[in-house]
Amino acid sequence: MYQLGLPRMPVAGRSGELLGRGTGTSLEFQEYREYMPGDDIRHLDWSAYARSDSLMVRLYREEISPRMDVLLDVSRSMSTSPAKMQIARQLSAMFAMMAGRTGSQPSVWLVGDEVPAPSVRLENLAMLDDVPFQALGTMDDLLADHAVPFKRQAIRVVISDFLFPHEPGQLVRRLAGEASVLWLVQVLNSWEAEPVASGGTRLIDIESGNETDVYLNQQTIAEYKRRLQALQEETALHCRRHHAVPVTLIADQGLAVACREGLSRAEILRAS
Amino acid sequence: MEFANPLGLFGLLALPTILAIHLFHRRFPPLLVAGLHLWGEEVRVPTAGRRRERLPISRSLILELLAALLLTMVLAQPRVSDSGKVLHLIAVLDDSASMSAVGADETSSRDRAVAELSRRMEAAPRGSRATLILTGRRPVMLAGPAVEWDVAEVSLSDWEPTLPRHDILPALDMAVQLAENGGDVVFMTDAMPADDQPFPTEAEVVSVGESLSNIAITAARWTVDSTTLVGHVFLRVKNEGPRPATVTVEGRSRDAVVFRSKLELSPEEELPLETDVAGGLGRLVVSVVAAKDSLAADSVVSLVEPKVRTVRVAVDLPEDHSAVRPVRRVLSIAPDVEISDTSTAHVAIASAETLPESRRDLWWLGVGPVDSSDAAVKGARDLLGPYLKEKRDPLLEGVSLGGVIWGGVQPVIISATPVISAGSELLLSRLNGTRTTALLLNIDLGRSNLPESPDWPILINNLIEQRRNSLPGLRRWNYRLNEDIQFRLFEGAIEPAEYSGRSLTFHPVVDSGDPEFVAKPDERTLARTAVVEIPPLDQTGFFQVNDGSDVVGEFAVNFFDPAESNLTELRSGNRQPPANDRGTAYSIDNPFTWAILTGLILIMILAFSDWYVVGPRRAAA
Repeated sequence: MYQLGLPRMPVAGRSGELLGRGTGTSLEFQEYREYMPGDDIRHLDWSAYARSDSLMVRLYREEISPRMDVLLDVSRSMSTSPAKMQIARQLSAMFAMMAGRTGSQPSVWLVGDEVPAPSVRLENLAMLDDVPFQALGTMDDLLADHAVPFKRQAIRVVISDFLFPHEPGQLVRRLAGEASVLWLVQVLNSWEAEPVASGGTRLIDIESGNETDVYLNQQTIAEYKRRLQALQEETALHCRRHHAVPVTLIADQGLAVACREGLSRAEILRAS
Repeated sequence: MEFANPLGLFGLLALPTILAIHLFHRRFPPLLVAGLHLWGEEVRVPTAGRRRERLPISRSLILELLAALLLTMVLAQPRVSDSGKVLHLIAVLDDSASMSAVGADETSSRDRAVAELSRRMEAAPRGSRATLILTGRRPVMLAGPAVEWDVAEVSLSDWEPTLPRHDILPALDMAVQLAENGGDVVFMTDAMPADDQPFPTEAEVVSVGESLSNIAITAARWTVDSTTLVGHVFLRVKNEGPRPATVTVEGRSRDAVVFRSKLELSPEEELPLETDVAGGLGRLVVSVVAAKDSLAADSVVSLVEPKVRTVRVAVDLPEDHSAVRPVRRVLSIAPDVEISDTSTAHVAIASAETLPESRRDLWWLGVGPVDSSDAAVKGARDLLGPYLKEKRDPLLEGVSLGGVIWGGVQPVIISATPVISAGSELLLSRLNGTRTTALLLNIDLGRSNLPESPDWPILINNLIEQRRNSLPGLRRWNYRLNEDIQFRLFEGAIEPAEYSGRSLTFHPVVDSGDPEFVAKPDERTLARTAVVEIPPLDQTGFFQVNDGSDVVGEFAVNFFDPAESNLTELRSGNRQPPANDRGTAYSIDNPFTWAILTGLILIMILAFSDWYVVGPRRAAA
């Protein structure tokens, strides 16, 4: 069993099981302060009043239920293999359900061509099975159009292959805006991660329709992997700047491996 | 352009097929990917709504199109109507010896005919064909039918006209038949045919002859006296020219000159020359030499010394027989006859009272009376005729029996075939039922005037000559060109078993005595029959007949043709066939089919090389 690996710093949210950044009504003591009119007299520390003759109020850490936005990239690029689509659906549902277990009301945003982006609620997660990956727009463009009404101080999980043309710094900045936590989960199929030499091949971009004839040999593949790695490293750099966590998963390895090897190592999930 | 197989043009459908394949076939298998920009290649943006790409003019496309086009051509077998029509020249070459006559310019009609044919063929369209036919009793196809001129020219270089005058129509008929499939017939000769001479209208006549003087040996004979064995040579030499000629006649036997004479011949004069030669020379080559002698073929004759074929005759008659004196009288004057005893005789003349023994090698003449008893003699009849003669029997050649009283005729009671008969009486008959050639002369010469008539020596001589002719060996030794040659190989109709299986051949003999008269050693086999026939020869010279390792005899063949030796009437000229009888164009198979096929194979090799060799290297680069 896994649970969300939330960071130690407080996050905002409704009252719930997780500790918030503000002061709340949980049993976990946070600090004292002087009584101010209007404070709940149930939190007056009478003992302290006896010792210091001043009314002190015991402040307890607020217990919250964190907000979570799961952004599922439903563009065509996610449909390059069945495994990729499947694990994208599974991850979206998994994150939403984990958030739901904390009392949160997570939203799974289907980031595609529609503005505003449609969302799937916790109680309708079964709908994810029928979500088509047919969108032609890129996540970068959609964010620029403010298609997703991000919750402030929410845990933001982005599930995509991040293989659309984009500028990593700008994308990460937009995704991290007002988010308390940002996890970038890159889903690739095994060929996208490790292409195999297959001779002459006409590569057709599944979204733009652009194409090119390449001879897939070791040299060409090495060049591709160098570019992919550069993109991932730049994304990771910007993630560090925005306290975001990137992780890359191989869809063909399945959800279990993804949780055990990928998400857990990135501390996005914790074994409970 | 025409096509021998128009259905082959369906192969052209391969061209749009190949184009379509190249238009729509993706050379690289497509693969849908995300993040094409990561591949770093030049990205092509397909035009919206169009699936078809611009046709890439690649080496592979060009080779495949060419291969399909050439394959279609091979299947359709194209014929270009103009270039496919070529000249088929069917040349009938006069093989008469006069074509070899050499004029003052050292050229012969044969040379001019060859030059004319060469000129025509060089002017003919490329790929034209020629057929060369030699005239003769049986036409000979020297080259063809319808061969390229290079091939025909080689055959033509060996052409040496040697024949005496002969019929040209068989060769022309063959040419006209060949021309039915297209072709022009031209008759190359040295004298224009007479207008009334039968001649196919389809043929053009080209005469390249010229009037020439000539000295010819028109006849030659060599006889031998059987008693003295001295030879006698008789020649006739003719001046076939408008000017007097001095002619040297020389006879040589091997290296030795046997005789030499000089003759002065007026224009068109013919003179005989007779000379005795020693016996035993074997062969003799007689030649004439003159200043104006254009034809070599009639200036030399080869003669073989005749062999004496003596007939041995036995007269087995009682001295008081009425036929003794008449028989001996005739035999005393008969040439080449030797009196012998019956056991070794070729011919036995005996009394008719006793029938002969049955011997295949014996001829027997039984002379009556058939029965010499008084009663039979008294009962015999004397006849005055008319006599019924078997005219086809060579025994009766020259026998008339005019005024002959056939006395002492008795009934013949044995089986016999009549040669001379009178009513039911057999006067001269051939006996049946014996291997001996037996003749029964039913006569009593004492009661007949036959011995006093000219028919008696003629009859006996005919008998002897018939027997002489039946002896094995050559009967004649000197022949003309194209003359039938016969000789008897063995007596009777069935060859003795000990001789069967041997090879009977004849071949030209090289006479070392005359270097200019060398025959080629060309052995030919003959059928072994009692009477052997040698087909008419068109080659002059000496020949030898061999039976296994035995020499049967030698003979000579010579050119004797006064008409052909007369070169004064030769003229050049040309006679075209009527327009509506001209030959039709000749079509030949497309000579480029193999070239197309070769090109096809080459292109297919290049195409495969492009697919399997050049392609991957180019892609890897």
